[in-house]
Amino acid sequence: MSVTVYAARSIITMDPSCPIATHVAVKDGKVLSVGTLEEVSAWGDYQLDTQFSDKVLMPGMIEGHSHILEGALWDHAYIGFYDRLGPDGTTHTGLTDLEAVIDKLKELDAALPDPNTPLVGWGFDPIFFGGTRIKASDLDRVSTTRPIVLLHASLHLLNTNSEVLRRSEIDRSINLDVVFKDEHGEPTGEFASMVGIYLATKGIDFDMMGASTSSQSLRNFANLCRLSGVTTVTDLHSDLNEQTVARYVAETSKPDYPCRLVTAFGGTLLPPAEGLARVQAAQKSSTDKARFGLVKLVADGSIQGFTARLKWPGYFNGNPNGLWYIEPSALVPTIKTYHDAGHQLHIHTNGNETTEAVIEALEEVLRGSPWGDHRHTLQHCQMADEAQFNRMADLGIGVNLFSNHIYYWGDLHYSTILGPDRANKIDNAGAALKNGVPLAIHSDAPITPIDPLFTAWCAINRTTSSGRVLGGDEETLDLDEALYTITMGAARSLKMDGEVGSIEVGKWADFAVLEDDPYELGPERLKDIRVWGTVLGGRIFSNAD
Amino acid sequence: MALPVTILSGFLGSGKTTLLNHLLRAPDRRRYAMVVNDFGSINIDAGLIDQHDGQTMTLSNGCVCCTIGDSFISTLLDLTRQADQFDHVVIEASGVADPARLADFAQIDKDLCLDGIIVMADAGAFCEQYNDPRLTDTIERQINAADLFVLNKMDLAKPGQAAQCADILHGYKPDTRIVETVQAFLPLPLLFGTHGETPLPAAAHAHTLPFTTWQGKSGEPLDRERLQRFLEALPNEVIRAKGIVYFAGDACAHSIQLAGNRLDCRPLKANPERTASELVIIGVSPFPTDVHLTAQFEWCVSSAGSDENNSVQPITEL
Repeated sequence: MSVTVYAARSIITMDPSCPIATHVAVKDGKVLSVGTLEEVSAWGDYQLDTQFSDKVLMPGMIEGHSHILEGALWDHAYIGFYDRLGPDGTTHTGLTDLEAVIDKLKELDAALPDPNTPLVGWGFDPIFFGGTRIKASDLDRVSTTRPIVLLHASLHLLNTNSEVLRRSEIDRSINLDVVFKDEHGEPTGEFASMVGIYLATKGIDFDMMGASTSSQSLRNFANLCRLSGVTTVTDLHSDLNEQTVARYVAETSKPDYPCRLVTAFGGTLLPPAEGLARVQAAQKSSTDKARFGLVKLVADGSIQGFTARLKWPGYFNGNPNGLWYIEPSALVPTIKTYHDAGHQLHIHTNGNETTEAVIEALEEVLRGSPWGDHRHTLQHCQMADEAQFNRMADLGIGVNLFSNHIYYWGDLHYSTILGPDRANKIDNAGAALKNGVPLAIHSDAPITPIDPLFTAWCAINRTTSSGRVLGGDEETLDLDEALYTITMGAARSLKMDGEVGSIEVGKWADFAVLEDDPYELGPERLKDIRVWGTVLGGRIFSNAD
Repeated sequence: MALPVTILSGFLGSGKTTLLNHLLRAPDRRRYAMVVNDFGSINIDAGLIDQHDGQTMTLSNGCVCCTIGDSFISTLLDLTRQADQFDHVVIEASGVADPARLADFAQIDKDLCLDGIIVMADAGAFCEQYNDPRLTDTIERQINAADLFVLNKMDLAKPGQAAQCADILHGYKPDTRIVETVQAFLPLPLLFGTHGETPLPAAAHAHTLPFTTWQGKSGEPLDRERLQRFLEALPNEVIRAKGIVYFAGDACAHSIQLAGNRLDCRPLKANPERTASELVIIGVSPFPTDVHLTAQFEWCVSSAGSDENNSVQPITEL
């Protein structure tokens, strides 16, 4: 196959030997050479492609913690408070009060032909609506006959209209904490999400979570990646049953699928021995674009949902401590099963008590089964302090911090959830690097949108949505560190740093094509960089198409 | 009829799976649907297994075991869609799950009813677990949710450990029902409030906890308030009460369920021809005497003397 040389305004390579280049030669989908035209032309005949000569190339960005559910949710109406880019490239304007939500739902209701089709919204965020709780009667203004289900942005709560209550036979006789009631004892249509999803699934025969692995969902997911310059993305908690693996392999293997998809098996979905068999079977199906073999464990809940496990002094507002999702005594045997078989573990630990328990468990496993390059990674790990980072570094444990939290929930962390001390240090990327912990940062899409440049902006500027800055110089990354983190840092966390993460000879020709140069725009405007599209394995994907 | 659901909670090593294994073999011909954490420890003769697809195991005795697999919600929905295939659902909670949150599903779905929340503990290990600051609040949630607390592995516990456990449990709820077992041999009547069925395999009898049953019957309608007061005042040795009763001035039959200290009374949708009210009370020693229970039950008959002359007394004080 012939050699194509791309000329660019600037190429940010992430290779410290040649940090900035002007030309990159691509052959067989891989980087043949990068440097000046003189250097890359040393390989002989080439075709010069100048379409990027006014663009900036950087390694395709890597989202190390996201979920395929992001793709499925776009089959439904986004009704969140913040603007959000959809997979079709259009920005869905944030709905900042209840009337805006109702108007939007009315519009969608009118567009749905079948009066029985449920109207489903997601990203609903009434916490920004001045404290008023939404009632079924509000949504009845949209329709009293069509079932309406709104899933909150937190994924912890759900609102319905009266039709869903009727079909689910929910009335005042039900007295449960998870069913909210008004002052007259009538259910308001608001539920804790688990029972809410159960009722919605049963009563209106609608499977909110079931469509995730559909072809359309996978497409949506990849399009969102392309739009944000991501060429390697993760689905970090999957059943990896035969059907899922087959769908992932089939869809990603299409030449026009613009992303590499790295999937982690949910290690507690099956008992360890069976889980191990399943992830090993999936691993054999790995391709260049669909990768299996990682294992995810979820050890606690979320901080903003008050289900993360916190050390003393606990939640700032006095909320009781959160929940273990794995019995602490089961951590060691579960980790050991996958560790001993050579599988890298990604362990969700939101609160600092969980982080500590998991570090202890990993230490115990490593004492019995040393493994120099395990690269087990703590995911979220939002409250880790210096002592924990230090210990992680000594044990070779990496971290993937949830930096987007700073922007989206930082104000709530400060005022309500964690208080000033711990809010200022949340997702402390500076401390992770200073202590030598391999670092990545993430969006946890669909919890927040996929957009590594935005995530990097969060890690650098630590600015909340109201404009408060959490912490100071100790907690932040500089621009170089942040760009490394969303490329090589994430690649290392997935053990793919030999294949992706930098523009370097032998690696995949995976690029993000930018209209603006991050070094010209500067760290404060990093999130405003316009992404033209991506290159994946040498194939060009324009956002304009 | 709503399908009864039992939540079985407790830490690893408390004996949950042993109890599930007993149930699958119990000769009570009850078709259990079990949602379990792990098939690995479900111990069933291969000859009994009709089908096993990795996530669902169908037994020739009509029972089905499912692992939670990809989603608890879809697993439970699958079971409720075939509710007529089963007599009882048992959900094994993970050691750290809040059993009350699992019970929510049984309480919110009109096709299901919560039969009871059973929490098991290793009697010899419980105090140490409770004193681990990482586990205390998780155990508190279990204690607060429990209708029945089973102190298992009593044969391995040191003297005094069961009493220490009971002190902790009663510190949260003085009326917590506690039973002590060996190898999770817990008679079905105590577990489910069932009556008149063969409890457990013969081999188990050496360890089976002795229990006592009282039955009452009345052709007269009962007084709702008195029955409630009677049942709520029963001592901690009364583990379960069940019945179908009629109240004065109400044509509808009501099902009565007492599981631990949780009393549930609900009108029955199907209204069978009006017959006698029946009540069964099951418990362990020291069980109230027949005479006392019968006297109390008779007092519940609506035509019995007025409250002024017959104020109900807690059984323990009679």
